[in-house]
Amino acid sequence: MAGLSSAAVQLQPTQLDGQSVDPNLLQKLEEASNTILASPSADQRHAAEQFLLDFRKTKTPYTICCCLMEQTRNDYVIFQCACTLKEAILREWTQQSPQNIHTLKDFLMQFVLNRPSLAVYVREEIVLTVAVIVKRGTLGTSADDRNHFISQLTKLIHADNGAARVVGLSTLAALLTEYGGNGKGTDFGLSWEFHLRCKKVFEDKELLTVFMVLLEALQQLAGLDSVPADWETLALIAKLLALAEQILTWRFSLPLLQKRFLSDLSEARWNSPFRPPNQWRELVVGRGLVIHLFKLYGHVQTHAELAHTCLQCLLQLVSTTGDIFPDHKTRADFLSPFMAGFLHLTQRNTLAEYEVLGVATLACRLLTVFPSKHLGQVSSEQLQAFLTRTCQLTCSFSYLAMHQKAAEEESLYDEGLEQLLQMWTALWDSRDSFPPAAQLCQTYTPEIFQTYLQSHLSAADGTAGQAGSSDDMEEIRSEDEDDRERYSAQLCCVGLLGRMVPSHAMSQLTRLLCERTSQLQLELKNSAGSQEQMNRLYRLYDDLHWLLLIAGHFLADQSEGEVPVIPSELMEHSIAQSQMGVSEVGATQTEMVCSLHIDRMSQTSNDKCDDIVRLVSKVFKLSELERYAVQAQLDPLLSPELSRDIVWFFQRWARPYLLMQEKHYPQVSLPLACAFGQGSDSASLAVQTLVNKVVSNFQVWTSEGEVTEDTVQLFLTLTENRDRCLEVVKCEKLWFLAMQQFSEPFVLLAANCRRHLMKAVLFAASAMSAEVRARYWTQTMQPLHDRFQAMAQRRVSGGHDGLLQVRNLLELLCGVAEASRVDNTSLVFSTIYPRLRDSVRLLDTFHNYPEIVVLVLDAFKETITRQLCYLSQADSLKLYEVTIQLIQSYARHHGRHRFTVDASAEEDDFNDLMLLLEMLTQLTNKDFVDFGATDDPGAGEPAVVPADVVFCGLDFVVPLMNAELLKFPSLCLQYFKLVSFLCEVYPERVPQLPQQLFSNIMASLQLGLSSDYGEDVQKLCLDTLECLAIHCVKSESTTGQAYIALQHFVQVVLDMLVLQPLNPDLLDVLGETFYALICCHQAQYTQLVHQLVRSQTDTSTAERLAAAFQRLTPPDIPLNMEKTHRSRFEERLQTFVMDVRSILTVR
Amino acid sequence: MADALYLILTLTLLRSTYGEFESTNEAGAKCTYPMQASRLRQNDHVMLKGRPCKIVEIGSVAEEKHGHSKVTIVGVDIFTGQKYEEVVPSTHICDAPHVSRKVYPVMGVSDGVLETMDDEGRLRRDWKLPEGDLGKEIQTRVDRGDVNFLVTALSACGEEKVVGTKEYNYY
Repeated sequence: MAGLSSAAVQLQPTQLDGQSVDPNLLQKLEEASNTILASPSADQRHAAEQFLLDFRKTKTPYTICCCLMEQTRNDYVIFQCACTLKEAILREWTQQSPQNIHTLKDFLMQFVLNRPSLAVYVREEIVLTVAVIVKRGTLGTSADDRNHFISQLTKLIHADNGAARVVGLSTLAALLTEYGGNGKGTDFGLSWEFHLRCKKVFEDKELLTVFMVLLEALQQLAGLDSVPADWETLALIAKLLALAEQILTWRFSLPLLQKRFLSDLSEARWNSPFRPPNQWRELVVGRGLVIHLFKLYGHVQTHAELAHTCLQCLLQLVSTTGDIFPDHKTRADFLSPFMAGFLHLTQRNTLAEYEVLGVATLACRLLTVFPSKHLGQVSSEQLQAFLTRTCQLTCSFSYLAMHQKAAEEESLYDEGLEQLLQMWTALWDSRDSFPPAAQLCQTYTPEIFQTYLQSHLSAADGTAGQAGSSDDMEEIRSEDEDDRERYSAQLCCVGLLGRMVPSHAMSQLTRLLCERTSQLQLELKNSAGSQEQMNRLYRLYDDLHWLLLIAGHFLADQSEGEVPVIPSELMEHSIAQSQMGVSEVGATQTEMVCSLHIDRMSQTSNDKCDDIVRLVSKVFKLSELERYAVQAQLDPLLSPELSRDIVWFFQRWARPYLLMQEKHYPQVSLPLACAFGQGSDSASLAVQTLVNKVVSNFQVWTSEGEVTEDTVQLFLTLTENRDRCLEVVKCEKLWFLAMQQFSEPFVLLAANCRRHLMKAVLFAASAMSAEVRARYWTQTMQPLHDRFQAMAQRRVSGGHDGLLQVRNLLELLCGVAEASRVDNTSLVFSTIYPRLRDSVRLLDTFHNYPEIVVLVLDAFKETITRQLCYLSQADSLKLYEVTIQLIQSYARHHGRHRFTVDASAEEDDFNDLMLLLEMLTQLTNKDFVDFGATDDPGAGEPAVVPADVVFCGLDFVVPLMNAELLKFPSLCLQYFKLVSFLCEVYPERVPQLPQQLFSNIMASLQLGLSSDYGEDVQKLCLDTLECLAIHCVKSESTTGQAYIALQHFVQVVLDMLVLQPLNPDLLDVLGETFYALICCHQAQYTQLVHQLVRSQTDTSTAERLAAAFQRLTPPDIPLNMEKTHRSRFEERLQTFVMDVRSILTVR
Repeated sequence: MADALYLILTLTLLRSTYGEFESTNEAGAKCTYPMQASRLRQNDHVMLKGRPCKIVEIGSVAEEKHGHSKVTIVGVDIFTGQKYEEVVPSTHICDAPHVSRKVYPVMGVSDGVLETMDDEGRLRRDWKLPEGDLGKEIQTRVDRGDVNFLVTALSACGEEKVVGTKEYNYY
């Protein structure tokens, strides 16, 4: 590049002819630049900006700009010139001779090298311009040119001159950004195809060279004993690392991953694994890349930002996958330096806080990315050393996470700890494919489990209190998030860890629980209520709180939708214990029973008791202690938080253990079955104890909403399962809970809690004999019934507490509706139906009170959701009729104009509308799923079908759903769900809707497709269109309003397929919809294709486009709804979209 | 005379459609009722600093993780819009105002006074025309000669205020 001078500026002297250059241009530019940089007034700024913008548009500005750049000392002017050049060369590329372009590029390179003192932003803009020039020429020039250029850059990078090296690296980085094609590059105004081809060329040829250059530079740096800490070296390292990160996150073009490819032009949302081609093997796996990076990390670890980038590189490198590894051996060889490097890196006593998360993630990835079955290939000494170190780290993070809390809200140690805990559970899960994992885990987990426990316990056994003075204890508990949610991931992992060493974990937990409970008993006995004592109590409560959380996560998993089972590790442990004679049935039963009688509580623990039962019995003791304290009116001293923990623990434990189902296990532990299983006295006693606990909590904690909610959840767990419920119905207290719902303390409970209580109480009825059930049911429902009647009678008169009472009644009614199950449908329906009729009247009366309206709608929605599919035809009919009355009444009072949305409106304000939409959607379900008996097979078509009700509601709802309302995400989703359901279930009825209503629906579909409502809404809209189109095709309708309305959507969907930014996840549904639409409107499709082809200015593009359409819909294949044609079309569509988008997308 | 008859008829019709549970705050009737703080919810009404307020924010906090919870209530005076905040133990028995919503047929606007019909069918001239958009909306409609609508009024503790408009429904 040497030898260039400003003589090169004489690019195209002839072009200056006829173009007058303002002799004062430089001066004006400098003035404008200075104005902009010196906080000007709005007018001045505007004028200066306009001047610069005009300058940017200068035609053939090459000579002028080069001259200006040489002449001025003003960085901002140089920056403007570089921008101008970049824009011009892209605009006028075809008019410039290769020689001119070449000279310009050389001039820019030389310029930036000659001016080491340029501001960084100016330098970056100039090298970016160079990179743009290089990329623009990719397809036109021979590879030699680029090779030459890259080797020039290589020379720069190897030069002695620091500034030159930075320029070299900057240029490489700019090249990678431009070629990378992940949406971060410059706008070239060229087709996507151009970018893809450039990327492929660069990737095949130069990327490897760049990578080699980088490797050498890294090697050189890593080889130094120490790195000078001057800013120049640091800047250089920063550049190198950034470049490394760019390469390691490069998305290689893979022919098989078409869909990923489609999203390539959009901003990459996350890093995919590093998947280099196998030619790279030697460089990535051999040559010590990993070692160099680790060494370099050693040099930069004191600089937060550099260390972070370096860790990111390592994290990305560890994700390496694909053809590059021909066998496990290579993989293991790759892993080995990582482990060594990790050990070296974590040798230091303390890690800086900014390193914590990265280091922990690295450890986690090392074991999770690597296929566990090949872990055997790693040398066992190394693996052990690695695990020993991670164990130390886990312990230290667990300690630091608790201690950091006082200082900061969000602790990086917590996040790091989570990663490490995940690593251990991943290792444990791999024990099937890598058997030594079990042994390894068992070696290390006791220490981790122990440390975690200690970190959360106060002084005597733990370390939690040591952090600071007792002031730290006075943290404010806010309702946002409690420990159970906040640490749920951590606790789950710790629970799993405990199960790896059940014996150790249980002995620890049991001992600590036992000690703390005794201390609590002592404190409560000598209660003085002094501040000092309260502080002691609070510390005790916090210890118990953590012990219960850990024990709960240890004993059982949260299961939703699945049958809750006892974790296999624990079941096996219990079986082994009993087989070895460590535990005995008799002793276990005695222990359990003792814990349920306060007078026998002081009996010493039996050695031969099963571990699990012993742990649970300790919690029962604690729970009973609390209950007696309540009876002794010590509740001001008690902790509501602990109360929650106790019932939460029981709930979690009860689901798999209490009256367990032996058929779910290959083998069952006898002591466990005798203590908790079906038919055991202690299990039945336990249920009674729990019911008493529920009542006790309701009596004392009415003002603590969270406690009563957790309590009612426990009660639900007891009653919703038949086996447990059989025991519940034996409790006297059940009748008290059921009958007293309208007296204290129950009337003081929060509304939600009362609703759930009603539900639980009604569930209990299912386990009663028919006769008892009838009596129980009547007695439970009578008070509600009477109150409803009274309310209905005094309609217009009455007092304000009437309002409150109505609210409570409706809340309970919702509880009744929620209690609907297949086994009690007719009972619940006969109870609830008259009340629903009353509710319509209540809605009429209280239409001005939104809270009442919402409750009435809720009761209907719950009834329809839970009952309709089980109802007989006659009952369904009743429900439809009353629902229609409800909709009419609601519509009468809420007019057509109510929903003006003001700025402060929140989604909650439209709960009534939301419930109405949900209700209508649920109604359509009846036509999907119907288990209800038909009373009389000969009765023929029923008078009212769900569709009648739904369309009645639709008539009212659709006009309300304006664009402003649709901005509320869940309201929007629910509305489109309803519309798409309707079109799916009643495709023949929708086109028959009144014209106004129908066009409203179609307009909302258009809105749903074109607005930013998200993928789900778009999917629903497309599904809706598809259903309508299929119906049109099948019914061969070519006139109806549906047919006409669909015509417009052919274009809309086509645009979404080929022109608008594409969400690859939508491709399938777009294809299906498009096919249905073009089957329906073949002529329109043909016309659109012609239009699109004709609109292309370039003939070759037009021809290719036409050919692509020809391939998509060959004229000899008919467009119809036959399955084979549909599926073949979808295959062709993928290729089509790829082809057409690469021609039409311009960037 | 015919006019008066018409008014009374309209009113009777309205009262059967828009009947309220309680229309007047009879003398001696307490204007509040007791309510435990833990049962209050957002959008409920409660007396804060002696004023009837609508709760815009409510939460429970404990000064101590294991302490008994307290309720923080942020309420807005339903008449003045003034914001109040209070923290009370969750067992505290609060005063909750009886708040009723009623509708009145609009008769006109004169000199910044909104004229409506009252419960007995007489002209009522003790409303100040509301400020802000609502007032403008009413004024505009009346100026247009449209008095074919209702206003909704909140009343509590002897005070009353127009808070919105409502359409007649001719179902």
